Amino acid sequence: MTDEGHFTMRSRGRGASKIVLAASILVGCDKSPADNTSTPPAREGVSKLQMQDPMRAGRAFGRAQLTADDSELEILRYAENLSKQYADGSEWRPEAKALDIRAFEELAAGRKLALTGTFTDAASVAGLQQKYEAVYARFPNTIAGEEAFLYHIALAIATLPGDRLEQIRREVASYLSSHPTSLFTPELLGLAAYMAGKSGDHRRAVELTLAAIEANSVSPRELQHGDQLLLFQAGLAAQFDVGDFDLARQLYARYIKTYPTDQRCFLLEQLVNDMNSREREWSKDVGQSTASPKIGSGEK
Amino acid sequence: MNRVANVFSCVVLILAFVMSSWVIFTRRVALAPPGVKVIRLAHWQLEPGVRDGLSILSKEFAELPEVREKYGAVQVRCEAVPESVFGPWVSTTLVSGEAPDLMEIGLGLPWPTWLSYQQRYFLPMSGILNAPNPFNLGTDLEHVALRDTLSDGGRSGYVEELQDYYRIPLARITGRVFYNKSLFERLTGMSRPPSEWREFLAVCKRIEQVRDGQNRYYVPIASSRYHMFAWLGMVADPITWRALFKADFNRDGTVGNDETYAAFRSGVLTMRSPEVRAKFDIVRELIANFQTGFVGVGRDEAVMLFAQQRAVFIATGVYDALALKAQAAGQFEVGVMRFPFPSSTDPVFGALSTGEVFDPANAGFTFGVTRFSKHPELAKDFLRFLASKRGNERLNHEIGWIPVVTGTSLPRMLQGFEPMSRGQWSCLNFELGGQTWIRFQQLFALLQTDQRYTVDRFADEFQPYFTQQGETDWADAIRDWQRRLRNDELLASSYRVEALLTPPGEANRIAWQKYRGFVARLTWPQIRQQASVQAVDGKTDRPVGPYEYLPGVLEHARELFKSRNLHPEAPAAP
Repeated sequence: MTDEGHFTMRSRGRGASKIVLAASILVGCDKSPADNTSTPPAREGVSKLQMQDPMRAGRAFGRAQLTADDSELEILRYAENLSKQYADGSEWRPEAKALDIRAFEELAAGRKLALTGTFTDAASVAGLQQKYEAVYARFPNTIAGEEAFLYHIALAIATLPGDRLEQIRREVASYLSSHPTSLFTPELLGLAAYMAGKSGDHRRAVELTLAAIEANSVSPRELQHGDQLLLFQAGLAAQFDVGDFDLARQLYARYIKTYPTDQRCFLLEQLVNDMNSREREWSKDVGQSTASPKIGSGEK
Repeated sequence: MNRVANVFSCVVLILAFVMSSWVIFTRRVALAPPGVKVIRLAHWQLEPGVRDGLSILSKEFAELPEVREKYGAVQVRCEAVPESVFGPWVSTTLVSGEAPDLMEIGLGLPWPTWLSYQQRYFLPMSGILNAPNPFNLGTDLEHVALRDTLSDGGRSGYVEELQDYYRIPLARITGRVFYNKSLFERLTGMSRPPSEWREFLAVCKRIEQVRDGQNRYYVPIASSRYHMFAWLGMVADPITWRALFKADFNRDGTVGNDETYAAFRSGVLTMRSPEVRAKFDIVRELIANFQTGFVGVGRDEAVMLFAQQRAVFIATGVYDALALKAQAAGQFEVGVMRFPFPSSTDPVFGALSTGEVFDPANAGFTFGVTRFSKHPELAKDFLRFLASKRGNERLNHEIGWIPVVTGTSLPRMLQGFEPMSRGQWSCLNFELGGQTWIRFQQLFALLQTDQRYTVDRFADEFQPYFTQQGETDWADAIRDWQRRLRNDELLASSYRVEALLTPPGEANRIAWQKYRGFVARLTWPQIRQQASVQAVDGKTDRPVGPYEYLPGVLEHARELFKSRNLHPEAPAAP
């Protein structure tokens, strides 16, 4: 069984135990409901749950409601709903694996250390890094594991000398290729962009920032504003760090279109004017009159 | 005899009880008539027009056919709670479970308290903000998501810390200069006041020289401690904008308190830098036109000076427009103008000015729906109605404020003075921490009150204090970050549990995305903090300013430009 499958089944089992408990109360069992092989639908539901079959368990709890007393109805509905949820979850693996509470518990130990400790020496940083590494090594395919890796990278950037950044960036690249659906892909790409900029690879920094923005566009209706600063900074990097005026103009135009009333738009329009006037000067050198594209006009 | 007295007492007691019960019953019936769905809305706006406006809109809402069809008889009760007690009142009603259905959010309590209240006691509004507003049916916004119909895209209702929308704004707030039209024309001979700074100062000078029949002088600008904020925000602070190009070390488009301190520590900025000094020079030029002793005067006294026609101009928020108009009723006409600002040719501040000031009119007057609402759908619908194109325009025309829905018209008095989303903004922040901020305020107060206290002296006294004592405040600020991180971690935990408990499906996916937002907030502070510490120590990654080209980049851009224009088909240089 794969790790992912293992976690899925185990978490189902944990949820099942709740239903087993509820149903045990309902049917008045002192012992484990598994010992009961009688046929009333509620007992059948418990039995099916123990056999990791939440779909049939849900149906059984549903049937049980037809003949149940009012006092039992609530628990049976709860048991049926919960069973259905776990049944649906079998086809929904990424979130199902996140139900691994134990991984989060281990991560919490690291976070506690991160929030209470001071990391002014290499030994204390190494101690915290070991905690993060242990979580993502042990629970590689859980959200907790992915989160631990993210903290590990952030801590490395904040504490390691600049000449180690390239090594950390390779670590991130390798992680992203082996975890393409990580929940924290946008954050990891953002950190990679930051490292690229610090290492002097500014074009790569712009590319990674744009990749982070794209990766973040999972639910623009629900979450917003997170990309605003990234887009602004990508444009500045394209202009002042890379010298790609066309790209800078594109990014500025996108920013102004997306956030038309933001105060930064005024600055960006000034920066575009500055680039345009420089290019007008340069166009005299190349012996032709080049009409600089106007921001927001859509021309290129 | 005793027996009669006892019986009489009992009868009186019973009658008193019956009467009390009757009074309570009739009052209750009046508050919530049988068969009528009643929702309550609470706010702190006691300005003229607000209560009337809300009352009119409430009645219109209750009479809408679609509302009657969906809910039957409806009544909206609006409750205005004074600002001074709004915070305690909110806490009491929320904790006791007696809160109204709709509540204005943001005043009277520390923001962390509001944060926890919103999380605990208010309903998330993503659902209604992300769907078209049914009350926009038949308008050009019919198919547009509600949040996209708002001038700020709903951002003023988005709570970053909770990663969700909890409020809907209903108006936009900004400042304007109001003036006595007839008095202005009589004293200056001009038909309208100039918006250019030097010309405005010259007009003020002219007003100051005129005497009335009793040889009394006129005050060009009525002001007070309260009114000073508007002049600072719209004139003195924006003149610092060129500091952005030197001190925006993290390139976020603003100069935060940490960046201001870093710039002063590293010598990038000093109190005598033109973009810093200009703020204080312009304040001195301005306050010379205020009445004597304005710092010791309250808001009402300044308004009185204006209403008595002893002053020509007064600057305040647009929320005071109707009050000023009411004060002037039958005596003089109130005019409106934008804040005067130096042009790019100004002999003193020209090099620091683009001639335009960012004046977006922030969305405000925000309301949320409480979890105690007995009719949450009705409450949400009333909020949707107030945020609809027609409803919002009507409400704000009644109140005299600026509508928040796009494509609506301004109230007549403010027409021609629309908010401006383009222009320079404030780029200095001395609010580093307790000691330095107190010192700044003390010295700045001296600058405003004592003509002998010069800008040079202010600069000489504040700069060494700021750079030296700032170390302590800076250390405190870092500790505050750490504390905030703990709070964020706690919030993240609550959203983790919520995500774990949410059934599989779209809701679960969104719950994990919310959680991701929190984790992102926990990831960056340490890195940014390290960058700030480096900046304060004068060690930035860039050998040049944040908005300057790295060495060799401009040459590369030029080569790129040449290659693209000489050989348009050639691939771009790496």
